[in-house]
Amino acid sequence: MIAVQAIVLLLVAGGAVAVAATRDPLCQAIVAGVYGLLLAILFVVFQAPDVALSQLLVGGVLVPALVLLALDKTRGSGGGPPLGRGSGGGPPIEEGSGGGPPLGKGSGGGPPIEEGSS
Amino acid sequence: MMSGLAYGVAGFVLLTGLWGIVTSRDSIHLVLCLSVAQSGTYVLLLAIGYREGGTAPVFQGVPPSAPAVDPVAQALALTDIVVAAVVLALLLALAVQAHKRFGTRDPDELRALRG
Amino acid sequence: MSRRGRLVVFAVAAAGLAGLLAWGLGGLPPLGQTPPYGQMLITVATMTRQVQNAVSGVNFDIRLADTILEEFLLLTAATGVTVLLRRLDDERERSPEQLAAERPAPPPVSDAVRVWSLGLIGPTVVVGLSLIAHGHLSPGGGFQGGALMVTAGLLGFLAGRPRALPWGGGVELTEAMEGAAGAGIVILGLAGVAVGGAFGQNVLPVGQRGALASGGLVPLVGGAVGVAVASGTALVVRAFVAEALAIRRARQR
Repeated sequence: MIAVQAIVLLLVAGGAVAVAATRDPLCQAIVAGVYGLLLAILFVVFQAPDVALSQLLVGGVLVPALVLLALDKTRGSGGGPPLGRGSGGGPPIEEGSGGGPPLGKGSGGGPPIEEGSS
Repeated sequence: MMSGLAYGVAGFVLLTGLWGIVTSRDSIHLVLCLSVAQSGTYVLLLAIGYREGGTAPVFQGVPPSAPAVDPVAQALALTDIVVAAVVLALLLALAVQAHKRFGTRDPDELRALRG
Repeated sequence: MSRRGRLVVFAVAAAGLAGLLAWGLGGLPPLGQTPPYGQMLITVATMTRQVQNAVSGVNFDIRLADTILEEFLLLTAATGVTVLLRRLDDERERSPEQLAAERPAPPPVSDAVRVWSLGLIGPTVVVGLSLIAHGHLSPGGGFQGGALMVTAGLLGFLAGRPRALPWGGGVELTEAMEGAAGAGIVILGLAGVAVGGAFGQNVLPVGQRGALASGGLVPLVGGAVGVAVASGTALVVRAFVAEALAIRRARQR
């Protein structure tokens, strides 16, 4: 029992680093789902079935669904690349920072109107 | 050693989430790193409530006098998880609205609000 | 502050925080030696309240004020999301056909996904209701059952039909349910005050542990919490889904 707890704790620590280090939000949503599953296993191993049930539902279903919906909104509306076109593996940094070309903006201070980097 | 590992992992996960927030270039990535930081506190709560050789605090077929882990830590953690998801949705809605106004998801580009 | 500067400041702050955490967490009792507060609560929950699931007993009876505060937190966040994603003046909702004409259509939902998703909606709702109803007997309760019911709505969305489920009968009904359930929890707590006892005191007969009708107020509060969590989360998800079908006309600045 102790060995199982130690192994799952180390996996959780690794999973946390993986989630924080994945820069592209689309890939990160999936990694976060797997991390939620790891957390649920940790909660079961620590004798907490209620918390594990909660974590499975929230971290496995609700949070990835909400993140995907938010991603769809912040890409499709301004004419950026739609969600259907996947971002592949290891996207460049520019892909994650822009999220698509900006809307028509007249007042200064906003980012200049140009085609989004893709 | 085991207690050091459990508490250490909780603190490590919290710091990892914070590092992800600080070095984030995308507000949605930031929100997910915040959820990682929150999960560190759940691990800590459960580690505090754990009892050696204890069973789950559900006594179906188990006499209530059997050693069990602390139910208060679990009660706090489980309400926390569900409510944190809705607060996460609030942050995502903020990110969506910020993208509408500034056209970017980069937290560095979100300057002062205009009009 | 530049990115490098921010990283340096964070490194210093993180080192300080790590030191504080090590000092604080090192002073905790070793893993597995819990204070007897938990054991006393288990005795109270199982003997006095006759509740099998001690966590539900703690959530819905012994620490009811805590649950009420968390519930209001959820309600506030749901209100915030609905307000943030409201329909502005220069936006209007467009139909899926217009949406498909504007950007490359996503790949059509495969038949397997559609059949399974629509077929699983019924069992999901039933399991969610069962989790809420048996919250005081087995692991589960209001929070988990409520979240599971929202998953049923998301299954409809996954099958490619975002309006397949009315999300609880329309926005007005969902909001009314959430408000009524939230108020219901407080009213159930006040029932204890009405008989001259403390807030949240169990006023119903506790019954026999293990029976469905046991625990006094615990199943009722669990049911109210389940409805409140389900409607609150459904409102939030619905705001996001409705936003996904909205259009934005070019803003005149």
